[in-house]
Amino acid sequence: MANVELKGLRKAYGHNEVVKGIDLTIADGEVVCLLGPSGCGKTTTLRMIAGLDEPTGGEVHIGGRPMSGPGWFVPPEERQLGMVFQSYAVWPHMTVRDNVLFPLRIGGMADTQAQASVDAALRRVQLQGLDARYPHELSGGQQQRVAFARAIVARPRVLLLDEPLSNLDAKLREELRDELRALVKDIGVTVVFVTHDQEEALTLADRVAVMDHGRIQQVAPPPQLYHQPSNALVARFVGTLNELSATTGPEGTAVQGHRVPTRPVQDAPREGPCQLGFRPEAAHLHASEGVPAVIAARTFLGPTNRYRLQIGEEQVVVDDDATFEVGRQVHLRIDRALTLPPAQP
Amino acid sequence: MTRRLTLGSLWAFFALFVFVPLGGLLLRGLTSPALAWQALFEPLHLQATARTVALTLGVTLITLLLGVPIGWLVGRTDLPRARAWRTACMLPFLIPPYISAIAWISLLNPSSGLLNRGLANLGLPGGDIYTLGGMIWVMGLAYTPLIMVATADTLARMDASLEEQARICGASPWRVFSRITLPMATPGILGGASLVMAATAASFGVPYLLASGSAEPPTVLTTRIYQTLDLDPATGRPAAVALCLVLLVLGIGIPLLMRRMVGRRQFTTVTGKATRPKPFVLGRARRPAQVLLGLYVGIGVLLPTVTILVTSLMANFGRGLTAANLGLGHYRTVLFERPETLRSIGHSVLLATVVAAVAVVVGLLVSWLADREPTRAHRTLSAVASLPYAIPGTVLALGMLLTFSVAVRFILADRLTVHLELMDTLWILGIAYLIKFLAFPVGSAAAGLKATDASLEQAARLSGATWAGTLRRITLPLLSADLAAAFFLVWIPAFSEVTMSILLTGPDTPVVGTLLFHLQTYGDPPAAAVLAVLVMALVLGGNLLLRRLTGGRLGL
Repeated sequence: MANVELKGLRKAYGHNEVVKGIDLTIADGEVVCLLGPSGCGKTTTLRMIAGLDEPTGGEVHIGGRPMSGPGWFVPPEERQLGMVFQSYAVWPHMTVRDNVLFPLRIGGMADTQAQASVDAALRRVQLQGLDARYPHELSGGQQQRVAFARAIVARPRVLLLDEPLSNLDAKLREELRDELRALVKDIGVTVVFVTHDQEEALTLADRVAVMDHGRIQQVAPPPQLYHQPSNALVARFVGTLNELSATTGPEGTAVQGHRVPTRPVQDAPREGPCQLGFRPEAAHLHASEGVPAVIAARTFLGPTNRYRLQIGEEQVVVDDDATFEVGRQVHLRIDRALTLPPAQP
Repeated sequence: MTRRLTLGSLWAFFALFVFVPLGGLLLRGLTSPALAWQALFEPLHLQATARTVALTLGVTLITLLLGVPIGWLVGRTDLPRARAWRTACMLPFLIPPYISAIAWISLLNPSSGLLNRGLANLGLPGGDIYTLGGMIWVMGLAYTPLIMVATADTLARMDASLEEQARICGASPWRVFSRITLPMATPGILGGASLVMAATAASFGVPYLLASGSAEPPTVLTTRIYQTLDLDPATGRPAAVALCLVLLVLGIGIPLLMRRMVGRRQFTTVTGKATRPKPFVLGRARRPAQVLLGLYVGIGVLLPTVTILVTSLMANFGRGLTAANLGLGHYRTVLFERPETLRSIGHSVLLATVVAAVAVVVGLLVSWLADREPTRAHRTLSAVASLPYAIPGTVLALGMLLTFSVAVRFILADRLTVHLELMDTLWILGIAYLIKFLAFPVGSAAAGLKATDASLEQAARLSGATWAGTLRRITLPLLSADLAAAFFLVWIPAFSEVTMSILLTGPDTPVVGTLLFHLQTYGDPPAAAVLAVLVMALVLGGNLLLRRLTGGRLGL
């Protein structure tokens, strides 16, 4: 096990720079997620840690040892890592056992010891008894487990996961997510994983690094990311965010003259027009106080109702236990909000 | 009504020209097993069988040794201009192998080969092309592209993460290649090898030409069948039938068995985002790689082409390569002064054009039925239409020869008397070509139909068009590019066909291929070379057209 250190990491394909200087330190045993929309550079960053892509600038250190930097590069096979690809990359011409045995054979481990390690790894991912099967005889979820067993069997210093759950159906994904979390914490391995699914990021990671356009926008534990996003981009990307046009000044931020308790993000203006951002659960409906609104739609969610409100030209979504009829005039009270930069014209 | 008539005539056609000849052939072989058995163990026949086996194994080995590295170089490395190299390495496959054989005879025949003369001047021993080794050499070069394409395509389709995963697991690039890449590419490569085996076992032109100049001709199965029929049609037939059965086993049975074994191991993978395979960095190996490819293209294409051109220009082949000995004289005599040349070219152009046109229409009908109304009968029809391509031409031709050597007369529906006298006519050649090459338009049309939605046709039916009208006014225009390509896919091999033609032509129906063989084997190599230049020009021209028509998917 080891820590991972990225210093000013860059990657360009010709003139197109997809990773534009990433600084990130991942502690020993920590689970860190790179989260962002597709094309944000997260997979390229993971591949540079793995040694599958060579950086065009900056440095990668694993366990305090330099892996790549100006003029030096350690090839992937010498980095002692484990990786699970999005496609699982389970070799179709080998049985489950041979797949999992491969890293140990390459490492030159004695056969009896290697077989015992394979058995242990297969037990961990609950695949005991399937070791003589070929990959095409397995379901997608089982193939994913094979890939996982193979990634951990040689006790890698760092485990890399590239969208590990995105090929599975929703129900299986939820099940495996909990299992995965328990498993990596049990082994105590350092994990770096990539996803575009924020639910996966928020539930699995100790810390999440939100990436966009080749840069890290914010690195923080999930609750902090949700409640205290550092800029508008992170606020909008993580969770559901309502936005209303507002004005801000030294006295605070107000919507149609109604003062709202807010926290400004880094790029928010000091004074003048701005956007007010709030989560559906950070507001409630009131019969007489707050911003006037009309109920446009109601969806029954079980424990609560989700209302779509029309406020002038704008629409917001609010969760509230109380029942209001569609078309009724109500008032919106916002409990916690963010001051964001004004919407682009 | 139209469609029942169409279906009925299709079945009747296949019954008469596929089932009856092939069934008859099998029956003759099986009903007189003692005779067939006896024929098989004649020393000459045993020898021919052994040579076909040796030839097939030798050619497969050469194509694997050349084709796998070339396929890997053009498919998975950072070789500069890899696409252009790939096209160049395809060229040997486009030239009919018997034309390469003619070129190699000019170069390496023991008495007066151009290369042998050069070697003798340097005091070096020359080669003899009239041997089994010569056949393996010529066909190995010609069929290498089959393996190259199979290898390159298999490697290109492979999910790169499978190899990257092995790197992460600690394997060096070379170990990744030997433990992951090569084993996974094996089924695809063996698929290509089964094609090579089938083509080699069934080949007639090269073994025929390369046996023609030898005192002890290395006869193989196909040429032995021809010989037994040629020497004595009456007594030779039982032996020819028996040899055909052996040829069927070697030319279809073994490749099929191999495909089945391979098919069971066909590797399917769950793929997420398809990571583009990363090209292997050649580094200092780049120069040797280019030399290897250059040598293959040079020896496989340039050398034979130049040789044929030079031979066609030589006034007297025996006199050697001097400026005074070169001229266009043969072109004038062969193309304008000999009536049989013009007649043969006329026959071949007519046959190829009519057969290609008919094949396109029949292929469309068969594929349409199999794709749009996939009943068991319709799918069987499409399988039957594609089957003869896999059967060695010699076997097909012998079947037709046995069935139609006498006039066939039968009564249809009590009043229509059908009288078929096909022997020694262009009809029998046309029917043989049609049956053999129908698989191309069936395949093309099937691919096209798969890509066009059936709702386009259903809309026409709802607008009031009949079945036939829809096929003509909607389906045909939609598939025009695929069908035009199919036309040339049939035209090119039909124009240069030899294997079946040599058994089925009569005295009044020579075609380009048979004339060319006649000229070559009866001592007029320059005249043969003139015809070979013509065939090459038309074949390459046809391939260029094919490439334009398919936007680069097919052809050169």
